[in-house]
Amino acid sequence: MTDPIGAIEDRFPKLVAEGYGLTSVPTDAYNCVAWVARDIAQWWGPGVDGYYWPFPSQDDSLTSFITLFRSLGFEECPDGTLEADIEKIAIYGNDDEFEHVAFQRNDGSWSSKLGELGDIRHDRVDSIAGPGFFEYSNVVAYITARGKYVGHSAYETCGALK
Amino acid sequence: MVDVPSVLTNPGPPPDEVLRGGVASTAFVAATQGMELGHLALPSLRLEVPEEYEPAPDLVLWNWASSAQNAVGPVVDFRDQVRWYQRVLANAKRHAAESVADALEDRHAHRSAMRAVARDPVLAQFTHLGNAATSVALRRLTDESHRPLWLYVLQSMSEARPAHGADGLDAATRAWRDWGRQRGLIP
Repeated sequence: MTDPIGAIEDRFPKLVAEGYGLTSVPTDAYNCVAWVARDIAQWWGPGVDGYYWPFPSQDDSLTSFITLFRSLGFEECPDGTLEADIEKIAIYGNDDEFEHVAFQRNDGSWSSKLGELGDIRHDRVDSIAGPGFFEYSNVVAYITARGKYVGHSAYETCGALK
Repeated sequence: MVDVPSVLTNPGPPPDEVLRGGVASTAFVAATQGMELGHLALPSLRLEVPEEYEPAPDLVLWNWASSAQNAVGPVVDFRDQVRWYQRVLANAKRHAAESVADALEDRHAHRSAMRAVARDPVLAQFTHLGNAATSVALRRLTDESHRPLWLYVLQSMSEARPAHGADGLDAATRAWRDWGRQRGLIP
């Protein structure tokens, strides 16, 4: 990918105005689901040989992904308000289709691995959602893992562009 | 959507069938989008194929059909023309598959989940290009870029599951590479 920043800003134009930073080089080694699960060695997803998926069911519905996040220790919560020592994740989707997941950093901003593009820190959770072809659908659920991933140190040291 | 000449995606007769002489008069007309070639009283046309025509087989075929209709001469052997047609078609399909593959990578590089890919009409365009598309997908997969996308595409367009049980993207890529090589789809 010759222009990783352009690839992101072309697809998610609100990021420029609302604030973001690139936090890794592009890679197809892992995706947003793996990113939330602290796994930067596998591409998580159901139904495709070579992807990692921890369940026998290869259901790719939103419900299936929420079940996955619950199995990782997350529970649904009402919103994405920053709370001390509580990590929250935002799930983007539409009807029963999962599209993306981001996690909240300890400064209240959000971290997203954008498919095969890089990881980014974005100030607003909805900067990557919208009606554009490339934009994700809106956040459909917030879920939280109290104390499970405090500090985010695993993320902060990942990526060549930190 | 990518601009792909419809002759490349319309289902036609298998090339081997076209070559099997007797069926050619019907089959070849079908393969050329129903252009009125008349009987298979095709003269032994010696057609020069300018390089710039190769990505546009519709135009080449139209020229050929027009020439055939107007030509006068004995039927000698049409197989050279059919083989030429096959080469032009294969070349054009490869060009088209590369263009559609570029579009797929561009449209879905930001995706982590593949449902949106599944319903993308560009994926259907790609799939309709048949073996040319499979070859392009295998080559791009083994080039190790956009592997999750190409693993999904290959699995969706093939009945084969060579990577079933593969542990990770690397292993799945190797499995598809071996599968493609065994079938002569990639070098």
